[in-house]
Amino acid sequence: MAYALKRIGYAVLIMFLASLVTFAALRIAPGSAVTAILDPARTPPDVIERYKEELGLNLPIWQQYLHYMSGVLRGDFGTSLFDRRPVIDLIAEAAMYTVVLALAAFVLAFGLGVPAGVLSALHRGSWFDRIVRWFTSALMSIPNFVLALLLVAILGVKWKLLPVSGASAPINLVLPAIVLAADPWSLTTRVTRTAVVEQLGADFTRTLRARGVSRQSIHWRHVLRNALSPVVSLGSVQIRTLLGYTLIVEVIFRWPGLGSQLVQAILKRDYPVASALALLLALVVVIASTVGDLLLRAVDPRIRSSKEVVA
Amino acid sequence: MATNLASMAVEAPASRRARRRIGGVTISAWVGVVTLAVAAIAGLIVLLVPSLRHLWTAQDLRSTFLGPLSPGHPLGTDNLGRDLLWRTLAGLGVSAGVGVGVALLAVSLGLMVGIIGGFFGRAADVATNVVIDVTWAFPAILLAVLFAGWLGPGLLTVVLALALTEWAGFSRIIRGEVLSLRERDYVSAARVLGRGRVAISLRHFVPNLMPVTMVLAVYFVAVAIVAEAGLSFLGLGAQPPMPSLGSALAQGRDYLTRTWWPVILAGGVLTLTVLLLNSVSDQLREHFDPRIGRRR
Amino acid sequence: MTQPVIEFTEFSLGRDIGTVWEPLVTDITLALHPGEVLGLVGESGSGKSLSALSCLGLLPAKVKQLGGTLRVLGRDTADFTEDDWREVRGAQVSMIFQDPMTSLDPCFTVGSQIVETIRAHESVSVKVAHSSALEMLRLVGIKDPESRYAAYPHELSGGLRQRAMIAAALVMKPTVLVADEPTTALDVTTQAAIIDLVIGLQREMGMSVLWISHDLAVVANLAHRVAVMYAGELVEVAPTDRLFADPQHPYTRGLIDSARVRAAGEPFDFISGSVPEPGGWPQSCRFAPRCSRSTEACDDPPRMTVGLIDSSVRCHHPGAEVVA
Repeated sequence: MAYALKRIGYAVLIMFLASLVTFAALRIAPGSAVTAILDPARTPPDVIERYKEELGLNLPIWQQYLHYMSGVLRGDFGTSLFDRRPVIDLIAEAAMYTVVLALAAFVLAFGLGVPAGVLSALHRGSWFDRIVRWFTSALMSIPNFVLALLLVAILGVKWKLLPVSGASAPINLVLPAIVLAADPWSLTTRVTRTAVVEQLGADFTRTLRARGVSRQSIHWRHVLRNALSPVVSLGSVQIRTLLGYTLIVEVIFRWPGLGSQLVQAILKRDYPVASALALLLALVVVIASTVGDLLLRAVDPRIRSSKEVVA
Repeated sequence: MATNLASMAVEAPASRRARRRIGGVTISAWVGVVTLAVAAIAGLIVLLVPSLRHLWTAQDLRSTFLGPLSPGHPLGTDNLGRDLLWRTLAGLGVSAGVGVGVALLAVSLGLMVGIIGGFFGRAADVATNVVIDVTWAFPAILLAVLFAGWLGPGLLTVVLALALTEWAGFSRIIRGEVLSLRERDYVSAARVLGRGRVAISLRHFVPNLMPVTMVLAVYFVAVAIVAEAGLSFLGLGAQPPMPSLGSALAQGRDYLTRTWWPVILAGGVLTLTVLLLNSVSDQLREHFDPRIGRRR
Repeated sequence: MTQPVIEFTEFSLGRDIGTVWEPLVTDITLALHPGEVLGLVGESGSGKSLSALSCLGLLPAKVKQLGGTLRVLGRDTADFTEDDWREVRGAQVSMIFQDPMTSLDPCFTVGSQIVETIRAHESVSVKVAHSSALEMLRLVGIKDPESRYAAYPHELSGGLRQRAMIAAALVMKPTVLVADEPTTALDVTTQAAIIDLVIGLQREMGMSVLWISHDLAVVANLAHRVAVMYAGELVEVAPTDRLFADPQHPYTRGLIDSARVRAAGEPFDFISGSVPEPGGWPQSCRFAPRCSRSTEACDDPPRMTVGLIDSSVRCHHPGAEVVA
């Protein structure tokens, strides 16, 4: 319990520092908020000054930061430079799409990956196992945007089976989700397989057999439990990589999520939007890694105790 | 992106006996390393020698969209009639250049911070951990995109952004290794003799960390190549007329309805490169395995 | 003479290496009697562990019985199914292993693993199993069993872990206990404590114990009879006192000699050469290449000959003085 509090406290510290980074990104970026709106060559300097006052840009930097943070904590990320709407609105709209896509991919990857890995391990050497290993190896080597293009070319353009752009109907989710899930699924399958195989060969399985415990019980209760820890570790790391992939996949499939928005914002130099999104993504990663840590401790008793030998 | 750390850390090595070896490392590993070196040199040429540029920039609007094995253009041409053989080679060179650059930067930074964190006292450890975790909070592509926003798109941006994200994960591993290395007797002996921490780090830790570093460096090259291609694909990486497999893919995609070939070519080359690098990385890992001593 | 609890008769094991079967254990004829402690001694590769594992049907994947019979509690194990074995394991024949750390599941508490053993054989409620487990923990000398029950294996010291493993192995009061080097991984003082524990329990419960070891000294103090194995076969079997007082086989003699405490200046006789690997066994007497007594007669592999009561030896020149 004490550890949980410490860990959460640490996560808060990291988020605080991350917010400093995003704030800095906002202020340091070339092309200030003012010049995006008023052309310095044609506006009289006192108008520019007044604008700066209004936007609070003349205050000392730490005050600006406090102002920024108090806004953030209230949900106010400022206004988009591009279309003058509150950033939070823009994000909220896009967030839903991204969450749906990421969740679909996560479910596909883990929901199909863990069982595939377990089955592969239990039947190692069989044709099933060999096919799975070959397939995951190949899939992992193909960069996901290449895979996306391939699938778009074959399924979307040539055979016109699935839509390749936009998010107008639920079926639009299929292709992007598959592309997004491909790499995580391969990895999950392989890691699970390795973990289970390793546990199957562990000494304690022999001792359990020596006491007359049934094979079923050994596999499903003991082996799986022990194999969980690497899989949980993997899960929390995967979230971070998944977020990275989501960006590209959204752009390729013109899925109106946070990723598309981020790229747009960067290209249009819309810094409030960009830095808000960066902060949000950082938050997700930090939460995932904190939850992952806590989960790992729950699953693996060995990590739990810092107190060791009781002679 | 297409390769991953966890799989390496957990996969059990396959049989070592089956393949022929030279100097303890298999032939295909040598092939991979040599190819990489050649490609990196090609990359340097691409970036530095202007007079050769015509090979991959010369346009010929009368022979656009030629397929493979066309006369004069063994790998065909793109939408502007540029020869795809040269363009692909040049793109590969750029990828290799970026890959090697990122790997070197990430590895150097990671080694330094990892050793400092693991060996230079509790305060340093806490500080480096915080820096690593903050860096870790931003997904790689995000940072790359942000950098592209600040510094403008381009290869330098890509290299910096990728190096500044990859080093964190590597640093963690190094720190872990250092934590166990510092308990060795020769370290205590050296400290008793009054050797400074920097000297000990350079003399004892760095050589011992070379196996892990080499394996991960190759992995980083692969990651960087894919990331650069991805960013160039999005328009944030290599800017025209700089060739890149990623921008070739983007162009190919625009004309997908007309011909598949450019997409297949660029995508295939990219995938094969990643496969080769993964295989080299795996074999290096097998080779070093007993010396790294996997702990669980 | 009451029936032996474990009886090997010309028992052989081999490993499937593709085209042929590589013999690992040849022609073992050995019996474990009720209430007896039998020590099985040999170096690694002698086949002692495999012989032990076969008593519970726990042979590794490619290893199979090649010949002879093995009777466990009177039943011929040749046609045992996995279910038959599961009935036997843990309840009639139990086994403890060398490394208690890797032998217990790290993700479950020690107590729950004992309970699991109970419930694998009897359908009792968790409550009943719980108290039986506590009782057993007390019996193996663990003070404060309630808190140890809820402990995870890595939270206990080596000695405590070994006691916990013994508790799990003996909770069903088996007739036979096979102990595969259970003290090798422990420090000397803990070793003594565990040995005392096992022997005490053996006497109390009237179990038969097959104690495997490579360490003669350990076996000398606890076994009624000792069997010595070399390169997959038995070379000598005798009651403990007689074996140590008058070893017949040159290998046994060599083992005893090398373990003996020496006075200063005394020459150290060691057995030159090394144990041949399975697959590399000579056609002659397997010990002949290293034996100081070997003659041409030894080109013919010797058979087990029964000498004095209860003793047998496999040698053409048993008991002869070492040729200088």
